[in-house]
Amino acid sequence: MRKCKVSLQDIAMTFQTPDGETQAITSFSLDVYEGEFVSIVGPSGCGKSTILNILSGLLQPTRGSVEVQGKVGYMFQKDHLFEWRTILRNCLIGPEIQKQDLKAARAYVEQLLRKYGLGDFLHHYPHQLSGGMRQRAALIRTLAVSPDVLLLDEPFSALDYQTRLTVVDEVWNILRQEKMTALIVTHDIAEAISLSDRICVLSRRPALVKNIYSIERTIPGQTPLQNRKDEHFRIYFDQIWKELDIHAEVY
Amino acid sequence: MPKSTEISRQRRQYLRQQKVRRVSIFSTQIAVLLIFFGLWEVAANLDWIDAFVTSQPSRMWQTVLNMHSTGELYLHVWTTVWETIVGFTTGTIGGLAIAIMLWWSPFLSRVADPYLVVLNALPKVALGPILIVWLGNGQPAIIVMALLISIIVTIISMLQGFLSVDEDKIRLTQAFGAGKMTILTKVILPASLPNMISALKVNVGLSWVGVIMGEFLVSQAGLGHLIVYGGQVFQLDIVMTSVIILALCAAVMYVAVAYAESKLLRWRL
Repeated sequence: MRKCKVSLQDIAMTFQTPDGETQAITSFSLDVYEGEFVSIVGPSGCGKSTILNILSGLLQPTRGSVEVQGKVGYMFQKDHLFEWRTILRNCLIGPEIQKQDLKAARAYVEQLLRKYGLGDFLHHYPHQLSGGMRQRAALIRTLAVSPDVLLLDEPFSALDYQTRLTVVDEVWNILRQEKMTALIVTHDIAEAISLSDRICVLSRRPALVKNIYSIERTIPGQTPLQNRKDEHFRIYFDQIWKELDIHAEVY
Repeated sequence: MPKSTEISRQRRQYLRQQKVRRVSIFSTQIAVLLIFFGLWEVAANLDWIDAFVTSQPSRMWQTVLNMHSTGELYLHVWTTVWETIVGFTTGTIGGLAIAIMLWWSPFLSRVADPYLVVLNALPKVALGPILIVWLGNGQPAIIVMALLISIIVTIISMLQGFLSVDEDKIRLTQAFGAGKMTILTKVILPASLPNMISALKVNVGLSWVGVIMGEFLVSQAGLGHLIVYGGQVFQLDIVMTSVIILALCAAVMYVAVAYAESKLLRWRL
């Protein structure tokens, strides 16, 4: 049995606002194992991001237990690179905040940037890079603090479709090579199927786990883009689509 | 960009057009200035206008020379410039410090909100007599006047800038474990730099307003003093000369801030 990296047991979350109480999550349990890619899909506004915020410690759940083995890295929808810092210095923001040995961190970050095709852009400013390159830089910024578990909050939805397909492959590749465990929040069913080992489908707000799918591939070890051609792809897509009940919103 | 020895014909033509355009804009600007002063001079000489109330460039030049030989010129210019620099610096630094405090404590910021709105709406010149009674009729009153005019606007615009920094940028640093001080120094302040610079630009102008207002009310020296004095003794030469010197000083200070901007914001497009 693989090691359990993240364990969420019976999480509930209620937000207090002047207008009243909002229950975001009624009950949520999930285990993520080492080296696994797990996606959380659900209708927009169902509390997916709340789960990541609880996991990263930015929010305290109203009920339930959170256990994370090791450090957590967080990647956002937009790259949020600081315009006033060069790519290298952007990637060093984590070690800088955590007061790590900057020399060692710099060597590590430079090596990552070179390995993943940003070697020529160390001293460029973010606006000089393309959207895909910026997202790669943002990922390296997250990896710079050597996290054990990576949380990705709709990491590709700010990119246009063409770029997105390649960036998903790139990110997947990097995560595999660095042997990361990843929890990805997305509303894109196809992306989730192509990228993940397991998919956790949430109901509409207040969020409940509707189902957890284990994705079987005909040919294992392929990239997300290749996985989209898998014969099971369509079947999973239809199942999850039905489960999400998105069409109900039309009426 | 790769250096190429061979530039295409279109490129050369384009560059030449750009240059012609730049030169013609600049020369027209100069021409406007020359025609304005030239007409003024001629009109006064031909008695189209009364040089006693309008003054004229040659008399203004004479005034400058006279004040230069007595050394008066430098006394007045320096007095006003010094007051403006002090008012500008204290207003900016003070405003920045208070804005940081208000950002730090949302409670304080909510408490201060109505007061800031009222103080911002109040014409600060109305406080002139109070300042004179409290601080005496000297430079401190003038400097405080300049400070009051710029500080409230600085606080409001800086705080607004601080609060409009992308929430996710803050969450990003928090995910790395950043505390409030780190967020301030690594995110809020650098992200607000463009905002700060535009506040500086506004402040330069406002400080001049404050200083000249102050000098109108109370002063023994300075360009504002010269303007009021010249008006009272009906020496329009002194008034006009002072106004033009004032315009030059204000322009120089503005250019200095704009230069600082271009140096500080190199990371922008």
